[in-house]
Amino acid sequence: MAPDRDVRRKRLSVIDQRPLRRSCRETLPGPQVHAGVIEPGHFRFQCHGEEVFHLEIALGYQHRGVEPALVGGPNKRTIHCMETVAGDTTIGHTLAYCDNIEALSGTTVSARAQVIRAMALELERLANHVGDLGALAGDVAYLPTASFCGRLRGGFLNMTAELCGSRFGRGLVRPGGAGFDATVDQVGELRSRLARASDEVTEAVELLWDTPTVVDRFENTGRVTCEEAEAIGLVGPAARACGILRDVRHDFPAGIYRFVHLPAMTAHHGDVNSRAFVRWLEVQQSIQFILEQLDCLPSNGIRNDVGPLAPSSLTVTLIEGWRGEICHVAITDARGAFARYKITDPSFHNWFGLAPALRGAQISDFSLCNKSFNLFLLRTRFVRRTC
Amino acid sequence: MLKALLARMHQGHRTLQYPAAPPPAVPQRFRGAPIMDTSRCAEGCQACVDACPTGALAMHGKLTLDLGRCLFCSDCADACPEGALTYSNDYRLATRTRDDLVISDEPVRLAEALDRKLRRLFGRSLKLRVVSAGDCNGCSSDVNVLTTIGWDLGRFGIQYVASPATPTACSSPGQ
Repeated sequence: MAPDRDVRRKRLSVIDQRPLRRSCRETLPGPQVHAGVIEPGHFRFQCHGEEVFHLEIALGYQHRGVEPALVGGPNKRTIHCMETVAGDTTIGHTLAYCDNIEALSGTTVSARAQVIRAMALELERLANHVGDLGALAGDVAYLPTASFCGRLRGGFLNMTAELCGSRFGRGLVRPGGAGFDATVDQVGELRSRLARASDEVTEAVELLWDTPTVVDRFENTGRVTCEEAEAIGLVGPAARACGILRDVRHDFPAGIYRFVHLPAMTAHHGDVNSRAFVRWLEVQQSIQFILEQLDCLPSNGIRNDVGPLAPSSLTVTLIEGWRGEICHVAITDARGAFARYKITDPSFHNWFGLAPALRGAQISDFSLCNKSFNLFLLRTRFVRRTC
Repeated sequence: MLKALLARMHQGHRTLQYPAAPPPAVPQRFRGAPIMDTSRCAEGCQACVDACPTGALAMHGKLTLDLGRCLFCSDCADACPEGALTYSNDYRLATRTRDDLVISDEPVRLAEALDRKLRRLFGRSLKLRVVSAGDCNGCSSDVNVLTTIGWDLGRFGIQYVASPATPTACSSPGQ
């Protein structure tokens, strides 16, 4: 045993004598199949001690071949594929798809359906923003807001379920309009639930800004400068938190957003605090928007028939989902079927923002930074990608 | 601190009494366990089978519905001219075996409660591991909801664990 021990000691001494600042790059891999109930992703930290020099993000461990499956469509499966491109953005992706179909077939959508769709989109934003504000609180061990928001998020999902029977809004958005109408009773029920949720969310979230330990952890953590954000091409709340005025509802208003102008909510520090605060501003804005729409719901029908798609055409749609800009591109062949369908989730742009956010930060800031972006990890095609 | 305490008072105790008390009401439009009445089926009618996006419905002599493939989208119910297929708002769908998920006229054969031996083994300590196998994150989101204060799965001794090495059961959404 003795020689073995000697060898080991020698090795240890070699490691100990490494010049610290030069070859100090240690690689700390995060697992692909990780601890939470979440999709797989691989994070590799290049760090020295606690300081992160660089974060490598490797994605694409799973793909479901959504895009290849859409070629030759639309068929009876297509809408259901769209609803599950990203489960937490069901409304956003389905809306983008329906806009494409309506543009290709020249279908108009009634005002009532437009309003129902927009309310669903904002409810989706509310559920995710509120849930993530709670998760951010949990990441800095501030349990009151974490617990309150965990429950309140479910309240918003249940409001969507009130409209269509599904918490994620499955079945609600359909080409040509909406799959379900809102009855008078439902409108009243939604209004009272939303008013109650508004009070409870305000109380829960404002605790964050009143708690110095929380603000201290949020401020200056995971900063992305405005220049970096511009260069990377960040979208959604992550871009707006850097002071960039970028919001599809504001830049390319469509549907009901042409008539109800929503100013883009921005903050200016690009840190976790700004990203959280932008989301809080949007929560308030969305609640207000839905309450206003419930008061003046147009009364025409909810769904129009969709004709055949125009052959050899290309359409692009943009929707401001809760993570940011969702882009769908459809190209039809000579028969009017999809020759190619391309989906870009906002996560595609924003993953590149997480790497600079963590540069020079502590490893322990990772979960906080990651949650402040809260991006989707799966790809729609099989392309493994490292940023 | 005072504000946090006040908020705690306002927000109140939110853990559901279920299963001791009835569960919260499901939304009116909730699509739960399907109810089939094949006696209403017209001769040679295949409308629901043709409408189903996932091939969950099959007509081999008699109409069957595989809940393991069903999306609960109600495309079949909309297509049926006879109203032979409807969705109830019964949320209980768990079965013991894969075969029990295939239903026809008779309702879903629900999983029985654990027997004494299993209860003694797992009664207060059931560790679950969820491995994503290509889900859209919808399942994961709702699995995560079970650990929030409303449902508080932990009070039954049920936990989602981080390591694949320790669980007693494994669930793979997306498969």
